[in-house]
Amino acid sequence: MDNEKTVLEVLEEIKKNELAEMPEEAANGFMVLIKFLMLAS
Amino acid sequence: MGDTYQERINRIKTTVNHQEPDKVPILSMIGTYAVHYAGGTIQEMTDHPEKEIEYYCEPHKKLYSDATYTAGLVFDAKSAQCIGSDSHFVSSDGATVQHKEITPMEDTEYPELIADPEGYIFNKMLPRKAKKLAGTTAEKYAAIKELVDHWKVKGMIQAQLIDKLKNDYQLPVITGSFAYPPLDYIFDYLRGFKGLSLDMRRHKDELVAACNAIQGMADEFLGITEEMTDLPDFPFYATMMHVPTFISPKQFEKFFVPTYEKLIYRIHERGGKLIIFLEGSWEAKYDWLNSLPKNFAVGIVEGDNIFEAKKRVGDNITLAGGMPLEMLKLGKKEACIDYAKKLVDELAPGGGYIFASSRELLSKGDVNPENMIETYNFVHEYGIYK
Repeated sequence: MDNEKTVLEVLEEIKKNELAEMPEEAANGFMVLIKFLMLAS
Repeated sequence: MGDTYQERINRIKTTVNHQEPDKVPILSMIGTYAVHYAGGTIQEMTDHPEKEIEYYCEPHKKLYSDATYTAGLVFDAKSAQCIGSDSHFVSSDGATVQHKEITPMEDTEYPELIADPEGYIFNKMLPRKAKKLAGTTAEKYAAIKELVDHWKVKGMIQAQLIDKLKNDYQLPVITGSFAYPPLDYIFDYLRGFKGLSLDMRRHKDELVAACNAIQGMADEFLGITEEMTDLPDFPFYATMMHVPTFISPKQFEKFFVPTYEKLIYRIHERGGKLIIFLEGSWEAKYDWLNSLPKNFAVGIVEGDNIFEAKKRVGDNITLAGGMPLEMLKLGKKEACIDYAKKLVDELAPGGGYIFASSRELLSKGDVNPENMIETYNFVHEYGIYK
């Protein structure tokens, strides 16, 4: 498990891969929402 | 019901500045009641996301209001399910979502939280409660991607809902974003009621330091960047106050106020406004409400006597609420209207009052719909400033 990526590292990867079609500012805002939902869930 | 979208917004903005608008503004707070009222279920909304628009418009076909509190459902059970958490779940009625308190943080972990709040919360604490975040990289990726995909759709649906409320019902949504207090993050998601109660006695300095440490995250979630020098004065930033009603004024001043004020003054300095849900009793904290900048905040009164609140804080903040849910549920229509008349007569002069129910509606049995419709329509017709 030591080589596994952390949740924050995976979040970065998700932003790069899954939100590539969004403008940078919108992608940042969307990831803030996702992080908030994760914390609150 | 011919009032335009802009007339309704102006009505609210005027009263928040303690001036008399043309009519007493009315705020609807319909929560998951909308799902019940429309005859739907949370599951149907999950399976067919566009149902959220249908459900959350349905009550407004007959109910008059000048603004609604929020648009759609934020904390659906699906978001938690995506990452393997059972923090939110659908009640047996099928149309209400409940929150289960999960407190994954130990009191010995304050130094870790203070040193690296984001790393501690996301990499260590979250995998404890969200099972899918405790697995391999691929499992974590799949879980977060599912959440992202869910919100790509849900975010679009909620934007469409706001547009439909505006275009078809001339109805603004009063909440634009959220101002979440740092101490409430710790209370709601890390330590819970019991843990925080002990920490306020046994880990005072660490708790203060932890609130300061997560200020950056709270600022990030607030969404105001340094480049944003001016904010619109509508819609408002909303705070649902959770822990304050449970703590003493001394604890409130020490643990809650310093970091929360930093957050809300970022709004105030840029011209924005705040709507705070004063959950429980706030009488012991009225001095703090009076210390806020005049005409900056709207307080939704839940547990306090609103007539007394008007005398004690009503010159500084706008009050919303007052219409008892119990009366809307069990009272006769005439009694509801008499009480609404009393609210308007005593609270509306001079502005600074928004008519609303005393609590957000969550389930079918919370009100008699006919009482609510008749009472809100009465206030719209009666509450004319001369």
